[in-house]
Amino acid sequence: MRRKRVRWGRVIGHRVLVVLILVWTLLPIYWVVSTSLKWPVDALATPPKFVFRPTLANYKGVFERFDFGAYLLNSLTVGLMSTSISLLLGAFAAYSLSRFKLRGARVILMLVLLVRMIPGIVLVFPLFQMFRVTHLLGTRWAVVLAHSTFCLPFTIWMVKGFVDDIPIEIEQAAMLDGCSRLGALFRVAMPLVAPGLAACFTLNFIGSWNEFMFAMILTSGQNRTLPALVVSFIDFMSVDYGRLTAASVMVMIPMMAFGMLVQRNLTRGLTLGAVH
Amino acid sequence: MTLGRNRRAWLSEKTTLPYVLVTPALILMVAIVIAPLVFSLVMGWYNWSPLRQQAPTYVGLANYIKLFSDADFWYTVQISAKYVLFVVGIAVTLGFVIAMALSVDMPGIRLLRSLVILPLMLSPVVVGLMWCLLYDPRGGVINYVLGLFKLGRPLWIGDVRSALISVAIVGAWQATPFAALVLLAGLQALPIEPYEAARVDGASEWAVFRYLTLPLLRKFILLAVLFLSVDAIRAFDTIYTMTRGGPGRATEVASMYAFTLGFRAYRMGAAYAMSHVILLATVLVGLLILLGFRGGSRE
Repeated sequence: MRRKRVRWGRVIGHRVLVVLILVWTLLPIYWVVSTSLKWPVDALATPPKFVFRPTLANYKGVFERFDFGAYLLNSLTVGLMSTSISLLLGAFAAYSLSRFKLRGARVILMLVLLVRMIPGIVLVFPLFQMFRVTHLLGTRWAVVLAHSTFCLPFTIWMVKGFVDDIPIEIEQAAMLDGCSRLGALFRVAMPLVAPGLAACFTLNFIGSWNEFMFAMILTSGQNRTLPALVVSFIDFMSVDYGRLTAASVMVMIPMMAFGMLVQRNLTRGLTLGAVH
Repeated sequence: MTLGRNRRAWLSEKTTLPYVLVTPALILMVAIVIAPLVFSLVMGWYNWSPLRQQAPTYVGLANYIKLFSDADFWYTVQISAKYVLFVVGIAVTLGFVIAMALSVDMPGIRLLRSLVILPLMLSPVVVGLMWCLLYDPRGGVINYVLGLFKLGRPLWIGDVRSALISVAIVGAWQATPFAALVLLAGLQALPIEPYEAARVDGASEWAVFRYLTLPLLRKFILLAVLFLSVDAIRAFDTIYTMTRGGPGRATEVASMYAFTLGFRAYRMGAAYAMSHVILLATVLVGLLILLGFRGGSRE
């Protein structure tokens, strides 16, 4: 498909546009990373320093003065717990909803979708009150359960989509060869949706790791996750951009890496399958 | 087990297995979402403060009546409406430009696409902090660049007049990749024939865009607008990180107002009532999305 002449004006215009898009998207991220590597005198220097003597002092400071490692572990625990619970329960539910003619399946699916859309601020008040009564308030369990409110419906809806994509004949063939129905589920269907399960797990983990409101309201003190910790930093070190950005970078870098892994499933996941 | 029957029979066979598989998830969903939701709808009829030890008192519809007759409520609704409008408007427009720019074939396009989605992976807290740094009136890079062109030094989130649009720009920065992804999927699903016909007819590029691309993408644009609206209606995290609803009450969106009522003024009944307004707005938009699902995008 070779055009007769390349319209250079257009090509250059397009490349300029692409550069502008990259600046808009990446400059803020770059700025946080570079600020985290600056000495305090360089952080807010005018004119801004693009070339500077880098340091890891901010990172050291975050770990030494704020016990960052403990909160990192909190975030990791909460993320793994809420995603694992959701995946374990959600995947089986999704399989069932995809494969069998359940009574009320349509109602359940609509419910799942609506549950997914309920804003956090609507759930945070009753959860706060219920966790207070059950003495879960302030613990990591409170956030694990709160994060499951969005991880679980997301898992059910997304995994159902993946199971729908597998031809049922494969399972039937396995059963003809002597596999039980549960055997067909575990040995045939689950391995086939494994990449989908992994993507779902990753997206949920990113969601839990990044979540702030539940984490701030439902936990306290030592049980905070990273986003809640970072905001509490702002309260008493509003000008210390060095340490704030160092903490931010450690929150953001792993998620950017995970995001790269799942981008193939991203559109589908974020639109709950409305757009493939 | 006999399997000579057809697919339908296999699916509808009477066993308990399907219910066994679906029940644990349903129980958890009822416990952590449905029950709290019902509890919340009930508590909207009570007055309660987490500070005092006494039991909630029944007040009928008083919480809602008080809310709707409060000027603060209408103020916050108006702030939220503006915020949603700004965020969705900016994000969809920029998302469209990005989708168009990245829908071409060129070397490195896959890398470009994966770089452009990075903001979606960031915690709103990090994004808020990031933009505090960029907006900083003295040492921030934005005002430095404006200064180079002698364009003044706005206070951004520090000024009552510009705070709302400033936090909306941040919301839009994070939402734009989502709009771009949806519209890119739309652009890649476009049929080729109408475009060939248009070329044969010698249609101008603007005409092709206006009378072909836009109408063909209508559904995708609508989906992007609706999904982004649902997210913008509940916006809390970045705004809390950046301004806590201030300066004054310039960025006090609906979620922030509900939070303040509940955990700053300790008027739980009012907070419940406010959260139900947010829920209602979300459900209305959500129902529109469900209508969109019914159309399906795979046909």
